[in-house]
Amino acid sequence: MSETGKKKNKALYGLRAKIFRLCILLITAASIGFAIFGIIQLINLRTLTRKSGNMQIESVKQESQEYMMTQTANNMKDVAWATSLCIFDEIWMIEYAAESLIDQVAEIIAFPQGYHEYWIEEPSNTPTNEPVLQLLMPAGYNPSEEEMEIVGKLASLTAIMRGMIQDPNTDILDIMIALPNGMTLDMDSFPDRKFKEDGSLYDYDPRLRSWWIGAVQTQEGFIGTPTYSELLGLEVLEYAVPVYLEDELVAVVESTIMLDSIHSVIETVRYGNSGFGVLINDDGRIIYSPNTTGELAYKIDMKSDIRASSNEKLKSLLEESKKGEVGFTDITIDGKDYYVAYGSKPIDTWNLFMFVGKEEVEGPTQNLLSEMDSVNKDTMQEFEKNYRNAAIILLIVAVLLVISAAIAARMFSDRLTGPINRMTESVGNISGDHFSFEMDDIYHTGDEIEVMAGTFQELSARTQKYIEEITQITAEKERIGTELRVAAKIQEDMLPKHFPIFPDRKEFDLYATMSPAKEVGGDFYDMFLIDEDHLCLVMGDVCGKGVPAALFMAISKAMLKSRAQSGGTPSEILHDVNNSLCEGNDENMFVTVWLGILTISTGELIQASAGHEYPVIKKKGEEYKLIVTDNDLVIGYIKGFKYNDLRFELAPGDSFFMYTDGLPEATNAEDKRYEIEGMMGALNRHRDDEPWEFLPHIREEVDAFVKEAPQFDDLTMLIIRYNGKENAL
Amino acid sequence: MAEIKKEITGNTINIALSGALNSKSAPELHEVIMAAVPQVTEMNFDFSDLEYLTSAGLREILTAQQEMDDKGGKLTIANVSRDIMDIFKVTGFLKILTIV
Repeated sequence: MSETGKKKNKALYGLRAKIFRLCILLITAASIGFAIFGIIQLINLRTLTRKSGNMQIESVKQESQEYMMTQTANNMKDVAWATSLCIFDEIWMIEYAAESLIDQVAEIIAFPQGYHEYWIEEPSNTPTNEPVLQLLMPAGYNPSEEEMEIVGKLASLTAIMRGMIQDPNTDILDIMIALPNGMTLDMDSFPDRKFKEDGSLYDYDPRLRSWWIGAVQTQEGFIGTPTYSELLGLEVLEYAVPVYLEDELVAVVESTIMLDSIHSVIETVRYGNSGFGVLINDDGRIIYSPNTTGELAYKIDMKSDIRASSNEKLKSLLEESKKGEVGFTDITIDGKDYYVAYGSKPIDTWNLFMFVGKEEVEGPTQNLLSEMDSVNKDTMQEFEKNYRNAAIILLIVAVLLVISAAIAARMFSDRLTGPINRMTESVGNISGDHFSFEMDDIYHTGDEIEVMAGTFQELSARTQKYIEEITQITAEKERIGTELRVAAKIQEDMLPKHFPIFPDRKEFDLYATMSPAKEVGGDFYDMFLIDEDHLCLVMGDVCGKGVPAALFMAISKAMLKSRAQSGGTPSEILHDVNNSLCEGNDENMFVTVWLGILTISTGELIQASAGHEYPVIKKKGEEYKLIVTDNDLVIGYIKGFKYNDLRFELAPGDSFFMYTDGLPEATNAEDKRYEIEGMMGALNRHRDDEPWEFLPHIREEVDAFVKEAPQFDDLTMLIIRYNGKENAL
Repeated sequence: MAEIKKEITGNTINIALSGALNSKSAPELHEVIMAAVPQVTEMNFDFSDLEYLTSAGLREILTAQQEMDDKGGKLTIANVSRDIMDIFKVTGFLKILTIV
């Protein structure tokens, strides 16, 4: 009881645990889903943020680079243009100086009579602080008076020429008015430099100068190639313009500026820290460069020629510029990256290139980018921190959810399964004496549990009632069964069964056996000595089975024995017993009876048969033979019925066999009966058996025929072998 | 199993039996006989199709005979097969029954 109770208790918590687990499972799944969803969203957000940060940087980089490039390009072009203007301005000054003289020179030469003649000296070998007009001539030239007069008249321009040089806004070094005969009026501040070391004057023939040749050839204003002036000891740029009078060359006016003027213009132009300008003429000669070494090295007297350079890009840019193309591109000079603006031309044959270091241009972009990157990084770090916090909070919320759900599920499952547990306990306790299931407040849950409890109550009440009934019926059956068993035992005990039953009587061997089909059979036999010489043998078969047949049998047997012992022939005995049994036999029961009386001394057997089976007799050495007798009516039916005797003589060695219908009517599983023929066969197969082994052998034969089929009827057999008086001893 | 066919004409009942009349079918025959007894004085059995007869069956025949005897009526059995005749012989019934 306690063990089953424990088992029940174990099972008791199964449902609660299941509900609990189900709730937990659902909540956990929901929480995990929630957490996973949240984390995925966070990860997405993080990825998105990172991506957008990177994209932002990229786009800023690109934008700012483009912007910087455009700005740089525009600015540098502007600077180059402005620089070119400044250069042109410098050149324009000498142009202006020269051009402003030509009309007056032409006028004086055309109309010398309108001008005073001034004295003009040869250069003096003394330094001077102001420009002086000097007369230069080719070596050994002897001017005529007229020529001298023209020169003297041209000298009237001295003040203008001096003013031009002294003008603080100009860098003009000298101004010359050269005549076709080689005579030259020269205004400058360097008369002493025109002397050789030996104190003699340098020869000076303007017609050999490049500016003279250029101006005369082009017949217009000519800008010379920058050259190193040995006379002045510095680099100069000369401008010359021819003066014609009625298509005849009458003079060439020249003015000179220091190349330094141009240089300083370019030099002062700066673009950023690394920006610089380089001036190159169409022949590839570097007019100006701040560099003294490398691919853009400046050499005095324009000895650097970039057309000889190995920098193809530089050469191609020069070609572009010569064609008048304006552009902006990157270029590598001396292994360093630059951007260059090209195409700006101060004058037709000059090309100004503005360089600036790539690093410097891109520097601000890079700075901006790195700043943005760091800002971005900071933001990301902040975001990561927030992200981690959010994830942790999310997890904590999920855990709290699970915990609170666990508590809730526990409470819920307790409440749900409480009544069930109580009910299970109550039902589990139902046993033996205690067999009621009582309704309780806890079961009034208003759901299926209440219905179930009600059903249990009804069931337990009904079961209790059934059990009581069954107990009664069982007790009754038990009682009847016991009584039947007792009756069967009594009946069995009533039949003699310890053979040899008369061990002292050697005149005959007598054996009998009865196997009941049911607990209480209807067959019976009896054998008793009426006196010393008379043996009475009885065999009967009560119609019907069970207790009534047994009772009828018991009465019949007792009556037969009692009557036989009173003397008389078998027919008389049967007649009397029949009359007695007919009294009050309302049930119409009957019994077949064979009764024989053997006179032991003679072997005479007198028998009467009240509807019993035919006897079987075996004469010594012969076979068993069925003796068909004229049978009388069964006993118990017609009162006063007259029975008849039949007489047999048994010789020593003869056998007499009697049986009930259970033998010929033994039926096998195929519903075949043994019949008299089967019986006779079995008897004769064992005709030489000793009497004590004869009946068991016949029984074996019957069993072999019947096999598994159940025994329907009682089976009773009796054998007696008459030995005779002589053989008895 | 036995099959019982009955036919009452006036105070006569004709009962035809077939199959085996044994302890299983006897109660049914008993019912038929006891139901007929108050209204008939003649009971005729036809055993043409009766294959077998046990002591329980014999008892019902006896009961019917006794009832007819008590009423001063008459009972006959017709078409008795050899096997059943043997049973009647062995049991001595032949001495009280009217076999026609």
